[in-house]
Amino acid sequence: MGPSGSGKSTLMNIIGCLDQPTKGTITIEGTETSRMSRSDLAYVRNKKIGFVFQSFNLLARANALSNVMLPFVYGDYPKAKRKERAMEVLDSVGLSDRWNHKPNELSGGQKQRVAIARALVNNPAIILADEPTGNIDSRSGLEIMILLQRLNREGMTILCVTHDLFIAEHAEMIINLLDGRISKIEEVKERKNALEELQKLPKEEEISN
Amino acid sequence: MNLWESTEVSIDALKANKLRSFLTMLGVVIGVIAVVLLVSIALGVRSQVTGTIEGLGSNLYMVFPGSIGRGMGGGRLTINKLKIDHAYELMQKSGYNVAISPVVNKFSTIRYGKTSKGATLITGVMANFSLARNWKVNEGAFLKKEDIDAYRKACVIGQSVKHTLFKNSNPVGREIFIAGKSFKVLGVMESKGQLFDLDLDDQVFIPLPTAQRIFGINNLSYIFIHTPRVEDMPLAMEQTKKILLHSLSDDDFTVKSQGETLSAFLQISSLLTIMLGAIAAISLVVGGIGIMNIMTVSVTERTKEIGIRKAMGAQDGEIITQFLTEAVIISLMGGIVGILICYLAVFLLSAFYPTFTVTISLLAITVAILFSTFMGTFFGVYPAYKAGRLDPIEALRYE
Repeated sequence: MGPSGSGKSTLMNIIGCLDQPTKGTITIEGTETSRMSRSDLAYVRNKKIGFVFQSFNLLARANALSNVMLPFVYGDYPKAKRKERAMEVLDSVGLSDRWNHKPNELSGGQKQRVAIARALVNNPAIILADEPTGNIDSRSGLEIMILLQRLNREGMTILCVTHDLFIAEHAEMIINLLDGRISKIEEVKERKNALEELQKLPKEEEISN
Repeated sequence: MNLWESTEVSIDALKANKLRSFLTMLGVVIGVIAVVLLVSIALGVRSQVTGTIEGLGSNLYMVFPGSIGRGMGGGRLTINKLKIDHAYELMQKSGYNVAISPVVNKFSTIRYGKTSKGATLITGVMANFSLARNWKVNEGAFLKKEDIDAYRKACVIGQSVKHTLFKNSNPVGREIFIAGKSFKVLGVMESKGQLFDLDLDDQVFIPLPTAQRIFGINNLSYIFIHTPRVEDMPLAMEQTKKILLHSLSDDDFTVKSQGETLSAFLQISSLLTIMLGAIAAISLVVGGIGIMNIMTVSVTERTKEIGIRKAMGAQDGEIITQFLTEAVIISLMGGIVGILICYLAVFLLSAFYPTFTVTISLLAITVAILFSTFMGTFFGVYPAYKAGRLDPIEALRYE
């Protein structure tokens, strides 16, 4: 967590092998990323890391299923099982009935869930989420948090960037950044449960009234 | 990512920008049409002329007045000193059983009833012309020795003349007017086709002495000499030269065989074909630059997409392959469409101009396809490489 310009996204891009650090090192499974070739970095991004972006970054021309299958195109996942695996992941984010919809036919929350499915499809070691709820309404945002908390409970490591304390309190630990440095690391004492938070929100009918 | 996957991705991207893909392709299409059609026409003309020249007879040589065609710049204007007496001298003194056939040419207007026809080639010949020239009569008979000797006003007409003046009726026995004088039609020659832009069937044959009299000329246009045995040709030509040198100087005449004419023509036509092909190839290069232009635009426009693909683990090479495949598909499709249009053009051309036979040369097609594929690759490499080397984070941030 941290204010704009504190280096949250940059740190995340460096961890995700999208960017290279000018100083310091990142070690993934014993290898420093600065010693890896462009090809090795691409391999790590494909196999070890699942990205979830604020602006979804889905391919506009492809449907949900094809978007989820995109990492397979650049990996060696067995061909015969690709579709089955992609549908399974889509099902786990609750969108198996929308597999044939293009991004512009989906709501913000649904798009982000497709993006999460895409991040999960190759069984990564970590999910890096950069302001995953930044571009969507609070109700859909909580649904995303429910999903991320469930994945976390199931054993997935999730690194989530946010400037919103409410979102941050859904995590086990908050690392505060300021001007490119870690200013504080704290454990969350009263961790929020996204499912309960969602129930606290006024019902949709009440809003329309 | 295998080839099929990258083809699928490429086709998808091309479909997303249909008009642009089509216009880019059009550049290649036009280039391919230019190359294939021009080379095919050039080769078609070449084979047609070759056929016509060979049809004249391979054991034929000619005596021309003056020193024409003797190397470059040899075509000096000289007085035509070739006379009928030279032909008679050759007839008496030549060996090798040659047939000597002197010819006089003149263009004139001809008329039958109310139908008249301008600028028709009137050829004054001797009775042995049909044999020496290997050109047979289709209807009626050729001019006979008596017709020649008696200065008769008789003629044999070519197929085109028959069509123009008589349509489908039988011309044999009718009277036509040549240069205002009435001539009896004895027969019709079989079709001989075109020689360069000259329609050989648009010709009327009359006795040589008659021609010299009505046109008021006393020299010859040329002499055809036919040797029954091809092997005798070089010796017969040497002999002809020797005989003529008795009464003429070296500058006054030229002895030339069909083979020499043919090889000179083939040399010119090869040059012409290469030149036409090269000019057409320029338009293909322009088409290729069009591909490069569009691919560069496409890479810039899809920077974000490239970023997403890279975040999902795309290797540099896989991105390069994707864009290169796109460029090759555009040019290959352009090549195929271009060739189809060429076939259509040739089909239409031969439907409207039946005498104009062009066959699309397989060589031209192969060259066009290879060249257009090469162009797609060549002009696609730079934009594709640019896309592949994009920094993932820069690409993702691009808006």
